[in-house]
Amino acid sequence: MSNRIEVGIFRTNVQSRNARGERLRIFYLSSLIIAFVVLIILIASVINQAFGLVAINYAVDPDNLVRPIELQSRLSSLPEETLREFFGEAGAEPDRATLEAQFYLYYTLIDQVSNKRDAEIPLNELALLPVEELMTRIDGLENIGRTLRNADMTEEMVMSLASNADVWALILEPNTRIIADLTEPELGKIIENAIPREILQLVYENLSPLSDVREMNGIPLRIAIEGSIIPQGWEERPINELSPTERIQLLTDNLSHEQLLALINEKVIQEVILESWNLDQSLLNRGGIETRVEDALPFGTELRWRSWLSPEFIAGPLTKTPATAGIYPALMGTIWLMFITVAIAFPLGVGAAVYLEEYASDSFINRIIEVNIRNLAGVPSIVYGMLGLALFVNTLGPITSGQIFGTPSNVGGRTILSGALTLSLLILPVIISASQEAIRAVPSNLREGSFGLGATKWQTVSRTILPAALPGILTGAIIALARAIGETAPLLVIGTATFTTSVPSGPFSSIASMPTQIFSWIREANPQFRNIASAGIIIFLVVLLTMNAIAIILRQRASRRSVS
Amino acid sequence: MEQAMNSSSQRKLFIKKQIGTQAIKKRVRPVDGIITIILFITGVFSIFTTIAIVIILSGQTLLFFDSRAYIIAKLPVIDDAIAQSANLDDLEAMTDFADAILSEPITSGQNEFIITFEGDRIPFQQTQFIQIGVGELREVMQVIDRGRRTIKVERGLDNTTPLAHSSGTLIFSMTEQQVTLTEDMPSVQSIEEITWEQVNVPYVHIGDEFKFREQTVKVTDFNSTNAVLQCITPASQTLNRSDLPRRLAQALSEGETFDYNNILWRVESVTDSQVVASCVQDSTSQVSWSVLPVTMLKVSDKIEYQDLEWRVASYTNQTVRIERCEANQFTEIPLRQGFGRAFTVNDLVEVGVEIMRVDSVAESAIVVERCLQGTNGYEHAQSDGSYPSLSVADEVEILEFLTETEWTPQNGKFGILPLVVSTVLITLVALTVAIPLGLGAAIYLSEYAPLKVRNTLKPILEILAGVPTIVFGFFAVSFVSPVLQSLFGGVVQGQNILTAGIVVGILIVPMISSLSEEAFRAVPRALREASYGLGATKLETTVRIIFPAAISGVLASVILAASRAVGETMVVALAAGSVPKLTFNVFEGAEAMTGYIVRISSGDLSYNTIDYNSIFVVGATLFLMTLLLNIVSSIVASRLREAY
Repeated sequence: MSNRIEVGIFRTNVQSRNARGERLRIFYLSSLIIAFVVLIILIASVINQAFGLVAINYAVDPDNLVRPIELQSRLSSLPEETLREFFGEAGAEPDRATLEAQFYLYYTLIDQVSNKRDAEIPLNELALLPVEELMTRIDGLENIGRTLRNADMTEEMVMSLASNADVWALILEPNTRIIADLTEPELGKIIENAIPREILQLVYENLSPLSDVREMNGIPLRIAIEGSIIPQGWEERPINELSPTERIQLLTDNLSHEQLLALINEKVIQEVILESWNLDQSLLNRGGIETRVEDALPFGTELRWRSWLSPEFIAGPLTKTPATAGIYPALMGTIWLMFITVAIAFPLGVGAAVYLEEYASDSFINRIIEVNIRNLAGVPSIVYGMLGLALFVNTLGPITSGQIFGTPSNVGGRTILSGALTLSLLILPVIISASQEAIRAVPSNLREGSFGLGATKWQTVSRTILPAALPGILTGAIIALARAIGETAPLLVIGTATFTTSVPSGPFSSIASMPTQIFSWIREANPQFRNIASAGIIIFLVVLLTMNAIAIILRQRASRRSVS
Repeated sequence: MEQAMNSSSQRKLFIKKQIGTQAIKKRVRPVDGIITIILFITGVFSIFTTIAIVIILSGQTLLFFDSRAYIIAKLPVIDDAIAQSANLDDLEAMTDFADAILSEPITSGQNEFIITFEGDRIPFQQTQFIQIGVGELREVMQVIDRGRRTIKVERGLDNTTPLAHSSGTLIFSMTEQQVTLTEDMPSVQSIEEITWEQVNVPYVHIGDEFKFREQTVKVTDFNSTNAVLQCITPASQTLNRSDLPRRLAQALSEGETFDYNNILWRVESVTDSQVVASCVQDSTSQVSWSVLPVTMLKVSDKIEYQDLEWRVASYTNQTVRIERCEANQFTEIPLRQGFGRAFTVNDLVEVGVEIMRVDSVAESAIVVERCLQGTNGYEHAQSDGSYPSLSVADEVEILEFLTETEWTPQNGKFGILPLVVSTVLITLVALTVAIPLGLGAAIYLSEYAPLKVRNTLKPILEILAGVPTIVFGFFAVSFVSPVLQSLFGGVVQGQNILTAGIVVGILIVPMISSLSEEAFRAVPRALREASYGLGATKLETTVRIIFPAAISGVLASVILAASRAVGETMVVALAAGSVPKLTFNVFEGAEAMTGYIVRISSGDLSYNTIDYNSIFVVGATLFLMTLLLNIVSSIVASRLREAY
């Protein structure tokens, strides 16, 4: 009887106990889910900043570069009478070419008025101004009198152009083409108009094999721009005797459409990113962003979609402006670091593991080595950085700077080699323990079989054990390497003071690496550096994921083989 | 049967003949020995790493404590040009020099204040000094934090009173200037010239006789480096030819004289291997004091004169010039207006080569005590061409290192506490985040999750563990910190301990969970089954049986994770703050140990400076902390382990 009651109590009790267990189970599960959510947020916050809207402004609006060219073609299609009508009654009877030139001059005047630095006014607003107001503004331009006199323009002619609605309609007619649609000679014309003083420099930079722009003066073109296309009969002419138009012809003959466009982008248009927005804002708050662009940013600012992660970013040089900065030197630095680190740490680590597993008897020194390796694995990476700074950079500076090999770096000991040595020490314990495990996992009958066949110890190790353990060792090594190139702190300690923009070309180049580069971008005050930092992180993560994927494939292969 | 036996023994014999012990021995090649040695070296190599770490950290640490750090006394002042060219009362003229104008009034009395600017660009840097207002109403503040449009300033520097300033007040950036002498500084030595007779200690001087290379010689003249010796009693001495210079050894014959060992010798007799010679009577030679076997007076020796201790400055063969520095010699050093603030009482100050102690400080002068511990009180000319600058010297003492609450080695504040406290706070926050998450995940994975679920969920933690720390740093500054700021409002600084702690916590979750999971799985099945058999629910089994059984592994994993958190660098360097500050408020920014190392070493670092040494001291502290935690972890793992 009493037994039954107890069972009953027990039963009710069980329910509440189980309920409690269920609650706790949910708590346990939720901690995993939190970890999962954090991972998602982490990745999302990186991606969030790598794409988004940017507000772009130009030193020169590309539309304004196309307009004169469009205008000229429109002018030439106008009947001559219409053109004469524009000028009213004033003046004598100039020929058509002069008329076009004069009209064009008028256009450049109002264009200058519209683009005056202190008060930019769109052309269409300028068209609505009273003629007197427009004239006073034109009068305010510098050198106006001389320009007009040179073109035989009278004030009456300007007045009549300014008051003619058809003229305005002609000028305000929207462009039918964008700058990318222009032909090469037209692009050349743009360069000639916009930066007449830099043409020689451009020819030198793009075509000349000489080492200094001044060397081009006085020597024939066939030497000055050797290897380029030179128009018939120009071979013996020196560049200083060519007119600007002829110099432009050299450029347009030799450069592709894309190259010319890139040149104009870089030298004339000079794109500036005024502000950038993250992906979330760009998608959810488009209206707010547009209002801000209109209200707070300068006239002519364009809102554009931009992926900060782009081929140009991967292949681009490190520059100080986020809009053009690339990660190529840092990527190369990381690759160099990786190779040298492997070359140092792999043989040392595997050798140590073989020694500890196969050769070492359980003596005092071997126990010390084991304990030591375990402790080394727990030393913070920044301490390795300080070891590298004091030992490799400072004490062994003559070696790590390449001085004793006759190729001294200009950064002292702060070279890729120092960085790789430091990283090698850092991952050595990891490689050793991974290799030890792999060697331990080799079945002992393999070993005994080899000995039984009369092989020596080294023969057994090198021909039986190492091949069998290799996949495991490689997996460990790759994971260790992924850890090494993900390390920022030691490299920061030994190398960032000598941050350079050059692409590393060998062990004695100055240190550059992706994580340190990302670090310095994150620390920049300009928020656009966050955008390129996140683009850099994406590439960095891709590199690391690839390495980890290789490790996983190797591990699976190894396990498949050991099963078979 | 017999046949078979026979053939079998024959086969054995055959095999023995064919292979034989000899052949087996042949296989043991010398290469194997070399390989063993090479492998041994690679095995031992890791020990060298440890040794190198220990030597470098301890060596630099000793240098840090050993060397007296001299810091040029720096004082923030408004640019000289401004001060001189503009009349301080002429506000309009000063406006041209101002770097910014206050847009909102500042109230008096607050020790920290946030100043908001209207423009896009803030012309002030973190840690920079700024001056608000001019003339009587001026106040010097230091920028301690910098936002996009705001700066946070610390006020009441050097016990000044925080004043009220109206909007429109001018703000100047201040530059740090070296403090230099403005007048000559007189010597404070007493100088006397005494004769040799007055030197009461029997130092060798003119007329003294002594034996030198067995010859009796007399001092006839001397100065502070050389003595002139005269041979008065020649004595025969046997010289080995082999000791003599070759040129002499071959040519010597009886009666000849030769110069050797500062003495003019005359040969008395010769043999094949030896020469007997003595000094030439009355010949003189000049000998350096250093080779003579006598006690000679040296410059800076201490001698007694009139019951006082004096120091020898110089001497001739007639007189000795002695000097002494009385105790309690005070000199007032006039300085430019306001420069006195660069010093505090009891600073050690170095002018030229002389070390003095600051006794009192005024706005435009300091009084120094000279002749410390019997050192010289030289004259220092302001017109010497190079102005002797005043450097504040400070010796790093271990006590100061451990108890001082400020850490700016460049300015002579050597208290490690702010860095350590910040690191510990970050670690505590990290553990608060990571222990529940990590243990929860570990318990779920090992006790609850079906195999399939486990195999899909576990990679999440592995991926989290594989993300480089710099990415977590990015996450901290671009996500966590803004979120905290929008949650808690203005009390959260841009860089703060809480952000760093939370993100470091996330970073160590995989470590705790994977190590603890291993510990849980190592608990034998039998325990579990016994518990179920007794009617326990899963929860009770987990909490009452498995958890206690695995406690050693769990604790070890937590301690290891703490060690990792202490040494974590990138998150801390980016998110925790860049000014060392002793604070227990997790919403504030305070630089941690690793952050300090990164900040200093990524600046322009030259070797053997106080900065260079200081990062190693911080590194050594860090190393010790992590080592201690690792050791505790392994002790916990082995001591508390229940053996099954």
